[in-house]
Amino acid sequence: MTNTTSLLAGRVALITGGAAGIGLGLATAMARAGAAVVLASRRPEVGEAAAGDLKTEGLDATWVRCDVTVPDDVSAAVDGAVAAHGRLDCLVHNALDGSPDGPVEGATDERWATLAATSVRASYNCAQTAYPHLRNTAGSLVLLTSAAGMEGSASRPLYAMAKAAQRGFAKGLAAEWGPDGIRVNCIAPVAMTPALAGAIRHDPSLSERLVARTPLGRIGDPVEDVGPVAVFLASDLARHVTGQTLVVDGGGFRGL
Amino acid sequence: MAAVEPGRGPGSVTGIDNVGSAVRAAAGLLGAPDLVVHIPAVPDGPTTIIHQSTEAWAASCEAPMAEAIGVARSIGELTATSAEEQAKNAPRLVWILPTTALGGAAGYVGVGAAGEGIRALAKGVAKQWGRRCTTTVLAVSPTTLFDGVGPAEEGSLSPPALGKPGNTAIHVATEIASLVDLLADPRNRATPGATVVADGGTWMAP
Repeated sequence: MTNTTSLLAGRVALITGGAAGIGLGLATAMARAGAAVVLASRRPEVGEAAAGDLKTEGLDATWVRCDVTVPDDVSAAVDGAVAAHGRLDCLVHNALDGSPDGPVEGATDERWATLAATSVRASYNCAQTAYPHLRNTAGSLVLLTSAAGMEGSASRPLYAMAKAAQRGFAKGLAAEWGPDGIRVNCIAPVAMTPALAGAIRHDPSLSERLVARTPLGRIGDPVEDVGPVAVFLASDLARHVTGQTLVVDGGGFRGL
Repeated sequence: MAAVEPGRGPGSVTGIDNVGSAVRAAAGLLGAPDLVVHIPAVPDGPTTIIHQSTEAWAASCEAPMAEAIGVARSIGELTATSAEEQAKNAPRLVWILPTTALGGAAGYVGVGAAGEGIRALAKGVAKQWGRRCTTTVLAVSPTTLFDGVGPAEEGSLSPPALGKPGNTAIHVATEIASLVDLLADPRNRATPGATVVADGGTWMAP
C-alpha cells in the first residue's frame, strides 16, 4: 500500500457504515494514516469485531452503535467521538440500505422511504450534527456515491437516484459551507466488498463483465484502492478540493 | 400531488402512490398521454441546512424525488404494451429542473440533491424503456422556476451568452415551450436520458 502514514495524524474521523465493506476499507486506510477512527454502525457483533481487528493492528479505533436514520443516534455518535477525542475532522457517510430494487414500475413508497432515509435524510442528519465540529477544525464531509448515480441504472433506478442525490447534496453543501472552511466531496467506488462478492456468487458473469469495462483490468480493493482516496480528501493535500466526485473504479466510468 | 408526513426515518414519504393515482386518473379521463411534462416543486427561498427543519428538508428534497418516481412509475405502467403499440404511441416525458441540479447552490442543498436524483432517474428509465417512452431533462435558468429570491446562476464567470431572460412568462411561453415541443416531436428519438441545458448559455455543459 502507498505510504500515507501521518497524513491524518492527530485527526479524528467518523465513518458511518464503517464496520464492513467499503466503510471498513476507508476506516482502515484512515486509521493507518494516523487518524483516530470511530466506526458507526448498527450491529454490535460486527462493529465491535471490526474495531477490535483494527486495534490488534495497533490502530486507534472504536465502535459506536448508530442508525443513521435516527437523528439522536447520529448526534450521540458525533458527540461521543468529540468527547473521546476532543475534535472531529472528517465525517464519512457511507451507510446505505442497499437492498435490490427493480424496474421503476415496481417502485413503492416503502422502498423509496428506506433508500431516502439512509441516503439524503441521513446526509441531512449527519450534516446538521457535524457542522459545528467540522467548522472548528476546518474539516470535511465525504459522501459515498456511485457511478450508477451518474449514468443511471435500468435495473436499480431508485438506488441510482439516491446515489445521484448524494452528489447533488455535496455540490450544494460545498457551496454553502465553503465560507466556513468546510469541504464536501464524494467518492464513487467500485471495489470487492462482501456485497459485491455475494452478487458475483449469484451471477458469476458479473465479475467478468466488470473487469471487461475496467481499463485497469481488475476490481478494486476497499482498503488499498479506495481507502487512500478518503485519506486524501480528509487531508490537507485536498485543502482546495470541494464539491467534487472522485470516481475510484479503475477507469470503468469516464463520463464526468 | 404528494403527501409528506413530517417525521423521521423510513415511512416519512408517501408520495409515489398518490402521484401514480393522479396520473392514472388523468389517463382514464383523457386517454393515454402523448406528452407528460413534470416540473418538481421548488421552495420559496433559501435555507441553510443547519437551520432547515426536518419537514422543510423533506419537502425540498425527498418529496420531489418521490413525486418523480410516481410519475415515472405511472408512465411505465401506461406504456407497458406490445412492441407494435409502443412504436406507434410512444409518449414523451420531459422533466424541467433548475440548473441548480447541475452545480448546486448555497441555501438550496435539497433542490440540488433532488435535481441530481431526478436526472439519474431519467437516465435509468430511459435505459429501461427504450422506445416505449423517450424521456429528457430540460435544465433551465433558476430564474425561470423560482419566484422572487432563487439560487444564483452557477457555472460561469461570464453572463449568459443570450443575457438574462427577460419577462419570465414570455420566456417560458416562447423559448422553453418551443424546446418542449421539439423534444416532444415524434421525430426526436435521439435524446433518451439526456439533459438539455436551456439557460441562455451560462453552463454550456458538459
